[in-house]
Formats: sequence, structure tokens, C-alpha cells
Amino acid sequence: MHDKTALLLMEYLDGTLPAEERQQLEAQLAQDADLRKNLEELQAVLLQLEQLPEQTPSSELDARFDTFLQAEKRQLQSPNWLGRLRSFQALSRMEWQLAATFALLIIGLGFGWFWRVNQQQQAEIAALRQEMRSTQKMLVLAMLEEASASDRIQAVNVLEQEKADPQIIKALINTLNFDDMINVRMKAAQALGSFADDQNARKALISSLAYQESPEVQITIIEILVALGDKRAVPSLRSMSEDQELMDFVRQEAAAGLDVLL
Amino acid sequence: MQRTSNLSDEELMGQLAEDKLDAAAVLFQRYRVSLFNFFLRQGHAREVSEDLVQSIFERVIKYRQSYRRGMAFRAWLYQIARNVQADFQRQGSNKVKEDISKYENHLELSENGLMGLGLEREENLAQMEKAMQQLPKDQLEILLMTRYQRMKYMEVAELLGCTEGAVKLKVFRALQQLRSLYFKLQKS
Repeated sequence: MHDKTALLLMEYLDGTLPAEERQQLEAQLAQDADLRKNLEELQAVLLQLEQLPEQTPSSELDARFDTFLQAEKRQLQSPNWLGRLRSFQALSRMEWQLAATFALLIIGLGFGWFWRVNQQQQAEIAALRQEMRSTQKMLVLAMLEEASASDRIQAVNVLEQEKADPQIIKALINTLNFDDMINVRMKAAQALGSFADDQNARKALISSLAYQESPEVQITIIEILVALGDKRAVPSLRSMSEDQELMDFVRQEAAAGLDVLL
Repeated sequence: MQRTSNLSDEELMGQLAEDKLDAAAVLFQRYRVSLFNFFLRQGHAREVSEDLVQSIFERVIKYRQSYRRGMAFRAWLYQIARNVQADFQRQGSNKVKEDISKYENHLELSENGLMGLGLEREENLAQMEKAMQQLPKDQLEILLMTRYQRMKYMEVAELLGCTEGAVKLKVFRALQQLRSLYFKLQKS
């Protein structure tokens, strides 16, 4: 049988042959008994094939499939979940690095700015304090020149708290030697004694002994020098201990001082 | 499952390709019986046929990404079925022989299952099954796919990689062969 005829018959059996061709074939079948028989037999076979009884697979197959499906689902979920987590971690790690960098930058800038401001402020404060102090010192030093005795004593008290400074030492020496008031001179002697580390202050105290006429001031200076244990005071003390013009108790004080120092 | 049962095979396969694995369960329900009988008809024992059906759906799930959208699902499915069967037969000819011997049991089973039918029809069926056994494998396969599984010629053409006309011809030649085998058995 030719391919063309075979194709024609197949389409006839399927019922897909166009009407015109079907009529031609049916006319041919009416004349060809063999072909007709062949076709009838084919139709019978087709009917049999299409009616073949079916068997049902066991429920075991369903169970096996379900087991496999669930396992696949779990497998699908777990690596994906891990993958997602990993990518999330990677992302967040990057973000963290970025954020940390920015944060450090900001903190750094902040600290830098704060430090600079702080430094400026500190410098300003120091300058201000310096300014205040020198203004205060000037005022105090000026107070030594004038005002009342009590103000001058107050000024000496203030200066005594200050750090040793040539200007202060000089002012105090001046007060010690030239102030009108015994009390002020005594206070100046005590202040200079507290600046004993300063050589000018000591020299001033030692040399001042010769000029001082007030016994109170003399005794104060002797006490300071003896307390300091300064042997450079020895010649002054010796001459004072022998000076008959001085008050008895001053000579005795000088002699006692000599005993301590020698 | 019922929610998705209105979808076409191809739509379900699309879902499966998107990792919605439940779609595979619907496809399994649709094809497990016909595939099981497809293997039984080709002479495999029940257990073997079930193994093969299981293997097919394992591959359907595993290779879901290889399914091209727009491709006829049944063409793809039966391609897998053929591969599974070929792999099974490659495992050892001894096993295949054993399976064919079991086929006799299967025949008896199916005959027993038809006790309610008329005697003539029962005899006819037994002869048809014998004739099918004698048919060359490729002819039996194409008849099962087109007449029993009701696959469209287009789908078979896609599966076999030939034209629709060529499929029609193959089917016709197979039918003619089966017809002559069947009526030879009837005459004897």
C-alpha cells in the first residue's frame, strides 16, 4: 500500500478526512471488497485497543511518590534557606563594613572637631585666666603702693598664695624694706620666707636684717632665717648679737639663732 | 491539590519549574495509571512498572528546569518514560527476560479481572494481548501512545522528532501489523 493511500485510510479511521476526500474513498470502498475488509478489521483492532482494560497501581506507589516529593521539598527549602541566609549575611556584612567606616569617619571628625574646639577653648580659658591673673596681680601690686595698711596686708596675703615671680618678689622686698607699717613689713617678711626657694627672696631677707629698725620685724626675719637653716645669715646674726643698740630680746634672739645655725 | 487541578499540564509544569513542587503531585495523579499500564502493556511486571512510574516522576521533579515552556508536556513526559525504560533494560537482559516471564502472570491477572465480560469478548481480548506481545517494540509503543494513551499526533511527532504525517503513517503501519497478527491468531 502506498504512503498516500495509507495516510488517507488513517485519516478516514480517525474521522479527520475532509468531506470531499472521504466521499471519494467511500466510493472506492464500495467497489473494493478487500480494502473494505481490511478497513473493517482495522476498525475492530482500534476498538479493541481503545477498550483495553486498565489496572491500577498499588497505593504503595502513591506513598513512595509522596515520600520522594516531601524529601525534595525539604531539600529545596534547606539549601535555599541557607543560601538566602548566606547572601543576607554577605549583604549585611558589607553594609556593616560600610556603616562602620562611615561611623568611624563621623566619630573621627567629631572627635577632631571637638578636640580642636576643646583645645581652642582651653587656650582661650588659659589666656583669659592668664589675663585675669596678671590683671589681678597688677591690682594687688598696685595695692601695695597705696590704700590702707589693712589693704596692703591683704595684698601681701594674696601675693603669698601666688607662684614666685620676679615682679612679686621685687614688690615684696620693696614692701619689707620701705613700708611705713611694721605689721605690713612683718607680713612681707613672712611672705618672702614662704618663697624661700627663690634666692633673691632669701638674699633680700638676709640683707634686710641690717636695715630693719623695728624689733618685731627683726625677730620675725631671724625666726624665718633660722627656720630655713640658712648659714649665710650667720654674719648678720653675730653682729646683731653683739650690737648693744638693739633691744635685749633681739640680741638674745639673734644669739639663740646663731646657736641653732652653728 | 484540587485548587490546581483545573490547570493544564503545561501550566502545572510551569509552576513546577518555579519550584512549586505540589504541582508534581497533580501531574502524578493524572498520569500514574496510564503510565503504569503503558509499562504493563509493554510486558513489564507490576512491581517493575511501578518502579518505572516512580522513576519517571523523580526525573520530572529533578529535571523540571529542562522543561521548555510551550512544549507539549506529554511529549516531554513520554520522552522521560522511554529513557527510564531504556535505562531499565540496559541494566541487564536477564532482568528483562524475567519480567517477560512475569508478563504471563499479568495476562492471567487481567483475564481474571474480566470475568464479568462476555466469553467472546474475553477471548478476543486475550488474543489482542497476545498479538500485541508479538508486535515489534517501536510499533507497540506508537500504538500505545496514540490509541491507548490518546496522545495527539503532534505530541508524538515532537517526541520522535518527525513530522505529523510520518507519525500517522507509522501508526497506520503498526495498526496493519497488529491487525494481521490478531486475525492470524483468531483463525488458528
